This record gives sequence, structure tokens and C-alpha cells, in this order.
Amino acid sequence: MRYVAQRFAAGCGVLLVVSFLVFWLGTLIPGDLSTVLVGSEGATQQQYRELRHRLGLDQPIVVQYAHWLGAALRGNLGKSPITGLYATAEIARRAPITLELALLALAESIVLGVFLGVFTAVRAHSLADVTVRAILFVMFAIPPFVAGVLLVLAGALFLKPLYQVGYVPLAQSVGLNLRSMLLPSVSIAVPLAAMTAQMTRTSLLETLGQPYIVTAMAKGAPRRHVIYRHALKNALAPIITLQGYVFGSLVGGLIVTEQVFNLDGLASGLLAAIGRRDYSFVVTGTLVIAATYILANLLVDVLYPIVDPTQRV
Amino acid sequence: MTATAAATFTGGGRGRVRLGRLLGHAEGRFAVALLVAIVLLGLVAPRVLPYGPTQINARDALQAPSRAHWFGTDELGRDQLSRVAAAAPIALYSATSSVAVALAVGTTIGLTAGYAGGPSDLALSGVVEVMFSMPALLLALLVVGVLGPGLNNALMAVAIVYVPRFARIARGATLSVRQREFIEAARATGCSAARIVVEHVLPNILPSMIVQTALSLSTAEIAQASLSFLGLGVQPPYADWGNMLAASRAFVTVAPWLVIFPSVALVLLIIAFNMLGDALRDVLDPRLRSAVLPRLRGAGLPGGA
Repeated sequence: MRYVAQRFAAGCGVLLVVSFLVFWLGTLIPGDLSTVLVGSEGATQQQYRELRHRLGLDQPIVVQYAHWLGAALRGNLGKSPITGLYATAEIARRAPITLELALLALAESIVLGVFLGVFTAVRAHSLADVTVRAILFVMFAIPPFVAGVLLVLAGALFLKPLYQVGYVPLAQSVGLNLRSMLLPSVSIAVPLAAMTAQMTRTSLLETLGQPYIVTAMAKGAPRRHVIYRHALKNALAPIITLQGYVFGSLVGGLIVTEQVFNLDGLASGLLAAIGRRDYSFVVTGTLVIAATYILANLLVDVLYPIVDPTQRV
Repeated sequence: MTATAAATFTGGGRGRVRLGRLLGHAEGRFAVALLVAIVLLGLVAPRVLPYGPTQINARDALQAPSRAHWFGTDELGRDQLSRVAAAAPIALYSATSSVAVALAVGTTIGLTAGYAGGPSDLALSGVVEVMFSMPALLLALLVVGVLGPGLNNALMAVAIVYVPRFARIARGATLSVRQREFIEAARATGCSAARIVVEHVLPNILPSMIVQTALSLSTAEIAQASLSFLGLGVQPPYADWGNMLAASRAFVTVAPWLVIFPSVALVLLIIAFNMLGDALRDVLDPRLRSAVLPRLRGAGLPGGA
């Protein structure tokens, strides 16, 4: 429990530093709020300076950050001066799409990855193993946006019911929602599944060579039972650690996939905000994603000792 | 302008032996052959193809692959083979130079932090850890947001994002080298710190750095192509496999060839980089485990592309 608390505190610390970094980068984006609001023409230097003063943009960055942080901690993430929308409302609208996409992709990559990993490990060095691993090697080299565009093509040619399905909220219809999310999530899951499969194979093969597996086999335990109960359970630790790395790729995948499939999620919002220099949303959007990422990594750290008792402190 | 890593091998006698070993490695041979083919495509195609990569010919718009246009034409009638070929040097350049910048900066930071220790180590490692805690493409996106779109800015963004992984590995390797007797001997004979770092520490951490360089090439290329796909990297009319895919997305049902050829080219390059990384690891640093998989403990990869 103390370990969890320590990790959580460290995560909060990192998030605080990251928030400052993002805030600082946000102020570096050319053109601040005042230039956007006043426009480049028609305003006198005097008006420009007054507006900057009113918005607090003439204060040192640390002071600006402190103001922003104070408001953010009270749940006020500001309002976009360009779209007039509250950042919290925007995030509340967009986050469910991104979160669902991420969770689906993660689930698909773990299920497919572990399945293929076990499949290849128990058939190590057979033709099936070599073939599947060659496929995995190619899968690993397919970036999510390439997978996405190719899946759109495949959908148009062979999977008509999945082609160009507009996003349907989960609350409206579970079936239609899954139909609209299947291709996007698969496009992210392709390289991730390949990674998970390779790691599962390596880890499982290592475990299958252990003496206790030989013992279990020798006492006549069913093969399936030995593989799943004895071996896979003990091979899980590195697979779970890998998921921490997977989150990073997952976020990258979300950013491009939302574009490919025109999903109006967090990443799309972030990209649009960068385009229109709406840095209040850039900062909040980035922070929400970064916070989720740090939290997810924290979860892996916490989960790790549960799966691998030798790691308990 | 092949891989920077490969360039390191062509100098000196020991280098030649290593290049030989790389070519003796099945995957290495395949990777080098594939990279040479991609370089040749970029070099030869502009000289032999009758169409320029940005040459518009509206009358021939959206033609399927044919004798005249092997890879078909896009919505502006531009020859797709010329464009795919023209994008090859851009892809090689952006991947290798972003990794090269990250390698140079990261190694310097890691060497300094690892050798000096104390407060400078704490400060540098702190910065590195914070950068690590951001997903790579998200950070790159933010940096491009600050710098503005374009090939060189996207390249710098990816370089900045990749600095921490090189710094972390260089620091770790330096820490372990610093304990060795020959460093102590060098210090005892009165070598300056700068000389010890450059002449004694650097050559010993170099194999790990080269392996990491090769492993980073593929993810750096994915990041670059992703930024171009998002409209933040290479700008039209210049061709990049990423922005070609973004542009042809709208024509996916009427002109599937526009999607397929750039995809295949990009995936082949990434496969070549992955195999090069695997082969270099086997040749230079057999103790390290799979390249395709990040080394999970210690000097692992941060959030990938």
C-alpha cells in the first residue's frame, strides 16, 4: 500500500512538471491570445497592450502558470476565446470517444497478441510458428495510419457493413457503436498486437523451459492446463510491463486514427486547436492525454507486483 | 545518406570486419539490400522517369497502373511512381537526420550526466525523465505546434522527442564504464576529464549507442510519416509517403493504387530499419535481447511513435 502511495505521489509530481512544460510550450506557439482576439489589423499598440494586460499575458510565465494552475485545480480549465467553448465541456464531449477507442485497441491487441504468442510458443520452430512470426514482423512495421487507410480500403471492398460508418455513441446503440469503432481500433491494435505476441512468445518459451513445467508435465497434468495455468501465469510479468510501452504507441495511434476515420475525439480536437492556435485547448487537451498516460503507466507499476510476487517490496 | 549507423562501419579496419559480419548475418544482408534498393530508387528514378514528381497533368488524372504510369496517377495526373521514388530520399533523410541529432545531443547529455554525477546528473536525469513521461507523438505534435509545420521542423520535433532515450542509455553505459580500471588508470596518469570522456568512455559506449540508433530509425520514420500524414511534416506539393496517403485517402475507393504503393514503400523501409536494428544488435551487442521488442528493464524505449 505504501508502495502504491509512493508511486502515486511520484506520478502527481511528474504530472505537475509536465503541466508546466506543456503550459510553457503553449505560450511559445507563435501568436498569443491577444493577437488572435485583436487580429493583426486595425488595433493600435495601446489597445493591444491593454488587452494583454487584461488577459495577464504581460506577467511572467511562472505567475501566469500559477493563475492557470489555481483555476485548473478548482476545475476551471478556461474557455476558448476562439470557439467560445469551455475546455471542460469540450473534453467531456470528446474524451469518451478517445477512451473507448484506446480501450478497444488495447483489449484487441492483448487478446490477439497473447493468443498468437501462445500459438507460436507451443509450436516453436514449426512451420506454423515461422509463418506467423513472419506475419507478425510485417504487422509490427505497419504504422497505424497506414493500417487505417488500408482497412478503409478493405472495408470498401470486402466489408461493406463496416465501411464509412459514422460514430454512434455507446449509450445510443452498443451494436452500432462497436460497428463504427471496429476498424479504427483494429488499425491501432495491429502493431501493438505484434509486439505483445512477440513478447508473449519469448516469455512463455523461457517459462516452458523451467524445471517446474517439466515436473507438471511429468505428473501427468493436462498439457493445456500446464500451458495456461502454470506457464502463462508466470510468463505474464514482462507482458504486462510491455503494456506500459504500448500506451505510448497507443496515444500515437489515437492521434492519427481519429484523423483517418474522422472521429471527433480528443486528439482530433487537439490537432484542430494547434491549427487555429487555440493554445488554451492545446494545453488542456495535451494535459488530459498526458495525465491518462501517466496514470496508465502507474497502473502497470502497481499491477506488476500483484502478478509477479518476487517483485513485491 | 544511407543509414548513419552504416556509415560508421565503413571507416577503419575494425569497421570493415564489422560490416562483413553484418553482411554475414541473414537479416543484416536483407536489410542492407532493401536499403540499397530504396536509395537506388530515389537516385535513379528521377533520372530515368519521364515525369517529374510534382508535374501536373490534369488530362491523365486518376489513371490506373499502366505501361505509361506503372503506379498509376493521382487526382492531379501526377505520376505516382515518380512521387513514390521522390519521397524515398526524403524519408531516409528525415529518419536518419532526426535520429542523428538525437544521438549527438542525447549522447552528450548522457555522458556528461553519467561521468560528472552529482547535481548535474540529477538535473539532467530529471529533465530526461519528464520528457520520457510524455507519449512521443504527442510531444512531437506540441513541438511542431510551436515551431510550425514543415519537414525540418518535424525533423527537429522528432529529434527532441528522441533525445531522452539516447541520453538514458548513454548515461547508463557511462556509469558502468566509469567503474572500470582503465578509467582509473587514465585518471591516475593525469588525463583531463574531457580527454577521458572522449577517448576512453565514448568508444566503449559506442556499440550500445549504434544499436539504439538503428533501433530508433524505424520508429523515427513512423513518427515523421505520421506528422506528414497529419499535415505537419513535408508540405505539398512535395511528396512524402505520409502526405501522399493523407491526400489519397479521399480516393481510396476509386483509386486504390494511390493508397497501396506509398503504404508498401513505407512499410518496406520500416521493415528494413527493423531488420538492420536486429542485425546490428546481434553483431555488436549480443547480450541485448530482441530489438523489435523494447528492452524492458533499464534502458527501455519510451512511448513509441
